[in-house]
Amino acid sequence: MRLRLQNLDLNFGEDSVLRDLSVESGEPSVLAIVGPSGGGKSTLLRILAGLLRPSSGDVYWDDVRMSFSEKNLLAYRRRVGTVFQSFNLFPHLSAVENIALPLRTVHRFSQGDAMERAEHYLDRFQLSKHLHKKPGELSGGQRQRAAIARAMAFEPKLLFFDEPTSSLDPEMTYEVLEAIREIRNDGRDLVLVTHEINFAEEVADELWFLYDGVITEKGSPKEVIRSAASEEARRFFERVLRW
Amino acid sequence: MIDCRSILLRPTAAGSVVSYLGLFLGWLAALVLLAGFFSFAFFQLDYSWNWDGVWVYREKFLDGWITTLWISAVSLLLSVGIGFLVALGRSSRIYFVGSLSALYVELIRGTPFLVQILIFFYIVADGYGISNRYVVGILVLSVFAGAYIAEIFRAGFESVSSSQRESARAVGFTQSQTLRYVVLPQALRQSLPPLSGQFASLIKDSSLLSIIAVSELTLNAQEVNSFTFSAFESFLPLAIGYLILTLPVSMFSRYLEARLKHPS
Amino acid sequence: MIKKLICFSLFAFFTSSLFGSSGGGPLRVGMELSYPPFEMTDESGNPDGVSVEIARALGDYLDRPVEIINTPFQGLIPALRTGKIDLILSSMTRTEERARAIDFSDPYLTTGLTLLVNSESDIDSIEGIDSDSTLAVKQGTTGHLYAVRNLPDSNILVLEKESAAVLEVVQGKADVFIYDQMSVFKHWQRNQDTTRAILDPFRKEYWAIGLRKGDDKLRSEVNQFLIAFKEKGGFDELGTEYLSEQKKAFKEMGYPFIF
Repeated sequence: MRLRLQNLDLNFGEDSVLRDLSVESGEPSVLAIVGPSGGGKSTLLRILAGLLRPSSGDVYWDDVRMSFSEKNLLAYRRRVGTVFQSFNLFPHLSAVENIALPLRTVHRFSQGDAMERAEHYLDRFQLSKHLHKKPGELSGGQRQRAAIARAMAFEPKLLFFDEPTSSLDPEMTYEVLEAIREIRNDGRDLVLVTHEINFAEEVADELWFLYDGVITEKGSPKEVIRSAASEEARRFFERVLRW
Repeated sequence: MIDCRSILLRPTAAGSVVSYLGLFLGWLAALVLLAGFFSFAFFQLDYSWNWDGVWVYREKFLDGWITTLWISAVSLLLSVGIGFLVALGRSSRIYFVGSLSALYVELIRGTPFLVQILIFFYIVADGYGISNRYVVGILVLSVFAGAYIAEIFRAGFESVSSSQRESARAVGFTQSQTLRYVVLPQALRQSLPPLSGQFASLIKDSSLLSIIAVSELTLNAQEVNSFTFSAFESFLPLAIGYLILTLPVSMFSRYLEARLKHPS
Repeated sequence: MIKKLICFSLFAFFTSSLFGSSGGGPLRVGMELSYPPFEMTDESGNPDGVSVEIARALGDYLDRPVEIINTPFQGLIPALRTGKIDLILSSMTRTEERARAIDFSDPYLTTGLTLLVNSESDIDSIEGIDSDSTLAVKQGTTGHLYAVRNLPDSNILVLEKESAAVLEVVQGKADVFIYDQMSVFKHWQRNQDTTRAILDPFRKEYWAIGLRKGDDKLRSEVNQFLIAFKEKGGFDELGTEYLSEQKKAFKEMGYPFIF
């Protein structure tokens, strides 16, 4: 995918979260956005995922301008898959229903097809023993895997993950890492926000560093992390890598 | 050998078995205490019971009870409908709808039901030409309960976290799909306990309709009392009559709660 | 109102009775202060009316202080039986059923059941009432009992309050209100556009003072008082003071006055 942001602004009242953001990516399959908390990462991701409208500016996917009208955003959201840090799944539905329901109602699958597809993806993420369990009965890692399964079930070309491993322990983080590898292998594109730098280094093709509403670093993960140009970036990576 | 502690106390360790004997004895003791408390008072009075006099009027009790039953049932359904619509109206983007809903809730909840009945029946219904007091009674009761139910639903709606709504949006649901598949099911589960309490209140509040000569259970019991001068023998069946209606409501609601519960 | 009544009645049964003997000490007289001009309150909320005056005169006669206890009509007999009050002086008609529960003094007033009729109804006597008629009655009164016993096929509306029953007739929701002569007259006067009154009583009634069964000493004292009070012209004075309009109107219409 090729992603270009042009003069992107987002203000929440007085607060300027993204300021005149302009950046162009290469051709990554997985793009990771990192930076200190409060820098605007989640906000940027939500704009890219079609959940938030910028105050001004443009987004171009493969040179096609993204339209922010409500009608277009709805259609857009139905073409991409999003996974949040937590509280993705609907607690009153079982794992398989969580996936089958959108397939039926949003993507017009038949009852049988939806079930089949849901079971298939849950199986891919090692959840076939937990099909009928409610999210409350699953562990954190299982929940995230189920959320990923749901995002992938209708086989979108583009996916967005917002801090998918933040509420997980290292072992579960590994599970999610594996899942992302699967996504790559499927040939799908992914924009990932994370503060797990090692994780980002493992999995991303390109890395952006977002600081205080502006992208100050961009390049291959190794480059950015080891030899960042700006002061803030260097300090950030130094601190983070120590842990 | 029966372990004393297991009969008196419910075990705390997760997954341990409740002693049915203990449960049974506990209930028995509580009922005996209650019965003893009242019996003592009666024996002090040397009251001459008049159950025969009241038994003659048993059909009156039954008729009144049946009236209370169907008035409550219809009002229950109507009030849930009204409450649901008003709860939605509260969060409407149209100014007029929002204000109207809020006004309705505040007025109804802020005034006594008795006053509402009198105003509705002797002024409003009269002005609009609705003369059947049973119809008016059901309407007033539904409007009254509807305001409380609207607030219960509203709290239920708001209890569904915004991250759930965001998740629904991300999945591609429209507003109405979000409402139908994500918000409502969760809101309804949250609303069940207070809702069942409201239903029991509705059944008991229906007794106030006696003020406009609706021939329900309370009015009939009062009439029997007028004829026989036996207040206790007239009003004890009254209390039992309401219990017969409210107990199943609370039992059913507890059953529903247990079935719909999802571990969080 | 209803809840108060139930609470009151149950409370009366649940506590030990204070079977105070009415040998001396204050005389507790029960009445429902919502029946002008017999039982009512003045602007400051103090008891006032014909029955209140009679009670005070009785107190003077027996040389005992009088306490007026405002009690809902339906609670009067239970209150008397459990010793909360010593006398019922509340325009209560002496009936057979009531006489089984309590004792009565000699009657002090003659009245009767009459009809307040909605002006558009064609009912002109008690015989004119049939199964299509709608009757309003006040809970627990002799009108209520009469309707239930003698007119069971009609549609009977049982109301808690006198004013509600009148309103039903005025609004045409009921054809007639069966009630005592004095009150029917008064309500007709107030609602001349919407009602008529059939003031010839279809059943005579006598009001008397209620006492606990077996309280014979007090009963004979009360009866003696009633004779003395009448001789003194006490009732005539009360009639002039509280019921002058009725007195005049009844004289014109040719009905005998109540006292």
